[in-house]
Amino acid sequence: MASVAAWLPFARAAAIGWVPIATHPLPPAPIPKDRRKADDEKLLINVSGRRFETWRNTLEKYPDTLLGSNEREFFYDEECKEYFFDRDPDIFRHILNYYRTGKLHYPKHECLTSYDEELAFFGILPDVIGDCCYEDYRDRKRENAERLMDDKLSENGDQNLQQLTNIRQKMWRAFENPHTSTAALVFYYVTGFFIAVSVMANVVETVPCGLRPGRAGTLPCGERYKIVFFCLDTACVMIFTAEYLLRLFAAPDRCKFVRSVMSIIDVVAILPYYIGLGITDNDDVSGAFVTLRVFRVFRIFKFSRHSQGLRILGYTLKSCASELGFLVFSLAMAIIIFATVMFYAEKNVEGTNFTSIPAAFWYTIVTMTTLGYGDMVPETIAGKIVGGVCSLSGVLVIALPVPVIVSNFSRIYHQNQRADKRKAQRKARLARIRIAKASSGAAFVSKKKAAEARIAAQESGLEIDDNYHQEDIFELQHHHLLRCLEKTTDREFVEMEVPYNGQPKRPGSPSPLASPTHSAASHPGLLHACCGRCCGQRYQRSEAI
Amino acid sequence: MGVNLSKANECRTTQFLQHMQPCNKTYRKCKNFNVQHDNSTIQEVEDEDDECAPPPRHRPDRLDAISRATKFSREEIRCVYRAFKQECPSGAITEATFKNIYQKFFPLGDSSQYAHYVFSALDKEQNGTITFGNFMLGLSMVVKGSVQERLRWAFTLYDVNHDGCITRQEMLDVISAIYNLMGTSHDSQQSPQLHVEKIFKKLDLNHDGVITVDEFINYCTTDENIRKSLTVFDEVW
Repeated sequence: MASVAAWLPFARAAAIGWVPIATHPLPPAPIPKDRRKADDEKLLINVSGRRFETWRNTLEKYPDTLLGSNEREFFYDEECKEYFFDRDPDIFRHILNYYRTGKLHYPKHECLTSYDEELAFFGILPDVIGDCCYEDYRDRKRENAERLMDDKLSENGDQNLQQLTNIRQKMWRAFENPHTSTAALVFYYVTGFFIAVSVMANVVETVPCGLRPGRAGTLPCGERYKIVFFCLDTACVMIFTAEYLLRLFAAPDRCKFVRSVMSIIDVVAILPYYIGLGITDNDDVSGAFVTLRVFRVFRIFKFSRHSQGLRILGYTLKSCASELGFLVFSLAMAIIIFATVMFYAEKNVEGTNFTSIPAAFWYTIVTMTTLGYGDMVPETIAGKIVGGVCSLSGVLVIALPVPVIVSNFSRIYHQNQRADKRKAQRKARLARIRIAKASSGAAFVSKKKAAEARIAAQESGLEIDDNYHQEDIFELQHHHLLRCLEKTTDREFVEMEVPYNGQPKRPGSPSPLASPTHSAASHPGLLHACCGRCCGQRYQRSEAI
Repeated sequence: MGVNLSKANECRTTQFLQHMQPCNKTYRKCKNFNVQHDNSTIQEVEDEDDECAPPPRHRPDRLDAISRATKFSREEIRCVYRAFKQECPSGAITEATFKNIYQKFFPLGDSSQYAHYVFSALDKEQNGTITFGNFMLGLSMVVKGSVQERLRWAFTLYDVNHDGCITRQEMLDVISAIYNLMGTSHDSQQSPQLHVEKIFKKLDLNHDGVITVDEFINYCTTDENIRKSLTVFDEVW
């Protein structure tokens, strides 16, 4: 409201127009306690050394933010008579402009997280970002969130390594991430091998090898070596069935698993075999049986568990569903139009192939995709013109959505690649960070021990080394606090001799100060401060004080 | 990145096409221009390839002159000008901005009609914009004028077409606009009519169907209630 406070006197004065028509007498005006300050006050805001000045009214435009409310008084510096904030001055510039102009802009060169933090600090909702910058902000936020979620997922995955309680979870993890254990890897390769074998068998059994005895025509290998192929098929199906049942058993949410795409593919891959076992060799149903064998080709889709590229392709097609739908729709429209025109153009030709409009569909499709088999050819001039237009437009209609799909695929594929690279680098990065943390923790503990040794030496009257640096009061208090903790828990902080060897830590654990060392054998995930008893001989003082 | 024709992008594309309208271009190559002070527009000669006129820019008169003409102190004028310039960087206030400001004062109701009437009462030249100088003059009349002057201004508020007399229709329009400030939760159909009838009965002494300036001022100065209410607005500044 302060933004229009200066207009209020005018609005009140203009309200004199209401006086003649007022049904009741108007209330008396409020009397201000002190003479209203005609001047507005200028406030000095010091952000990390850069000084900003603005009117108080400007800041009070938005009373629900830090600067506009009483909260800013917490940052007031009495001596310098200014408000001091130890924050980023570059981003503060944008925040102050928000107060001045009412529009919050997002600078593209700034990191989104730091910007968000500044906004949160100053109590400004990101929703007020102006339309000019809002889309950009939202896009980057989404990108960031996806990236962080990826990282978090893989981090959780790593942390869950230690937390499996029962065999079911272990199996599920083995199925989902084959590289976690050797058994999982073996299983992965074995199933992959059997999928390949099964698909090859399907293909090879239709190859002709030899002539039919007593009849004309060639004999396909499948019929010649019926038993062999049958055994092969049985073996593969048994492996697939076992795999499916194991996955079903291990799945954390069985209903969800049964509904998932991969599980449906699995089922479709093995069902024809069992149905075929059930059907006897009857001529009536043999046609149906043959159809069922077609479904065996779905086994090739099982490879998508093994190939990331295939999964990406599937995901791309799913995400381009609208473009694909558009393509199909426009093609259908064009086919119907051209087929109709061709039919009416050619229907009076003798012996024509264009016997009906659906028959002309085939011609239109073949022409639009520039295949041109030549089995149906227009004879009349009108037909030829239409055919020409048809083939020219076919190229356009098909070429339009293809770049969209391609670029989508490329984007998703590269995203995946980057994610994989990040995951690979993450482990090394985290290990380095852990080592750095551990060494600083070790340095702190050794400093603490040195300080205590000095105090003990002072108490017992020994000569003190004048070369030590005066410790500041903060460190002394920190040491004292840790000493209190030691006394409370009857344990001691252990001085580390070797840098931390990168073992994964349990989440929520205390700082690396309390890491074990003397047990060289690792207790992964277990952190404990050593009790003084077993290490008593290493330290000057006993535990009993 | 990919050309993703998803729905979001389609919306963006249509919006983009809608905004591709030739206007609001602020960058201009100007050959020569006249700068006139005292509330005149800075005109720029248009190039042949310019498609729309540049937004007019107004510069107010000197602070002393305004202070003398309007009897406000320099500090007061400075204060008002800062708020004025903040809302209207071009130096002249348009009706839309006026409506915006009134909307902030009366958030519950629909203030656009009332703002329109106040604006047209202020706008001496009736050209859709009020320069700072004219605004200050109007403000001075309303805030620091004598009772006569203020009542005269109130009269122009009701006299929509500025022909010197208020008809029933004009009064009904203005009163409906004032009622609209309250919001639509009240019964807004009957009350303005009744109100107008009441007013006309009281003010229209010669019963000719219109209220003239003299009738208006006469009534307002003689009626006790109105005289008391007028003093409420004596010290708004």
